[in-house]
Amino acid sequence: MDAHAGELPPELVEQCRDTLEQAMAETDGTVFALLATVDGLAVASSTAPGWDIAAERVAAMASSGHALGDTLAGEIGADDCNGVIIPTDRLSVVFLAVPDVAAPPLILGLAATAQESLGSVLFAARSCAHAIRDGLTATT
Amino acid sequence: MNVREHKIVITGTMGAGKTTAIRQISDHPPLLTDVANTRRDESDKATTTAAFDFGELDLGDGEVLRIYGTPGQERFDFMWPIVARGALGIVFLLDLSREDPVADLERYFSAFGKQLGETPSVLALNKLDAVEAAPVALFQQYLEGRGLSWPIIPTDVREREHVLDLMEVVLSLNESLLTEES
Ligand SMILES: Nc1nc2c(ncn2[C@@H]2O[C@H](COP(=O)(O)OP(=O)(O)OP(=O)(O)O)[C@@H](O)[C@H]2O)c(=O)[nH]1
Ligand SMILES: [Mg+2]
Repeated sequence: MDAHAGELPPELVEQCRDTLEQAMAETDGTVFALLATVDGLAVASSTAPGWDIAAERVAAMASSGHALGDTLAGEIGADDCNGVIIPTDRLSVVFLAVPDVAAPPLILGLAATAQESLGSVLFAARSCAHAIRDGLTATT
Repeated sequence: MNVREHKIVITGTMGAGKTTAIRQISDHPPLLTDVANTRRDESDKATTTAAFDFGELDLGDGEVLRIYGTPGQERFDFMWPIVARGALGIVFLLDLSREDPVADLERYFSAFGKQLGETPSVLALNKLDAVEAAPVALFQQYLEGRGLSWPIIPTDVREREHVLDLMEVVLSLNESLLTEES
């Protein structure tokens, strides 16, 4: 991962990766989990066997997508964007802002096969985002 | 009245001043996608563009400029062709405070490959306060070596008048296009 990834110390990056892996293990059909800074640097990621996903590129795209979500939400008169959901025939992909972490702001991504309900992927992503937040706030 | 829109794209490295430029000239607060910047080592500023900037400038007589800025950081290069599609002119904004602006330009040249010969472009040299003198001759030589005769314009994108001048030059390159249909 990027050496600059939000300047989180290695032990925290390790801890975040564990949390991602735990979310993957606990949620059926998950193929990819990612933690990225809001400006698109991958902090940690986990990919299911048999999937080839370029975490660095996805991190940058998640940042752009999230920024566009913010722009769109503002245009409609909503608040800040809390996440971006991309349902496809094959996968359900969810990106959520990790709540209440200020430095650096983080985005969590979770992708699962479309057999899982979008709701269950969202629920898993939300739990994982909270676990990441709890882990980071406990140690800082 | 039929409004005619002209799309201009500003591109260049992180911190070159693309967002700053668009802020100066947009009639309304521009649409920005700036997010917290964690690469303060690359460019020491609070935010960085993650998707694109967008501003509008009414030229009168039913002509409107739509000005787009790209994200500068290379990991966002997938956005560059998306933002640049259909541009009538491209401003390559160079940051003279960087170590090797010629190499920076080279990098953007390869990224914009196909569009280069076809889209009227200007080279804008920003952050003049970082150098003794604007290395205009150096860039002239560089462009000539590639068979390009673009205007090279020293600028300060913090100044509205400077950015307006830049836009005027880009438009003048398109004079024929602008008058063609009217
Ligand atoms: N010293 C100096 N600073 C300048 C000049 N022009 C712009 N700046 C500053 O340089 C910075 C440019 O930042 P941005 O406008 O965000 O740069 P950008 O090209 O949009 O960068 P990214 O979106 O991160 O790719 C701002 O802090 C400006 O105030 C100049 O001529 N001299
Ligand atoms: Mg910018």
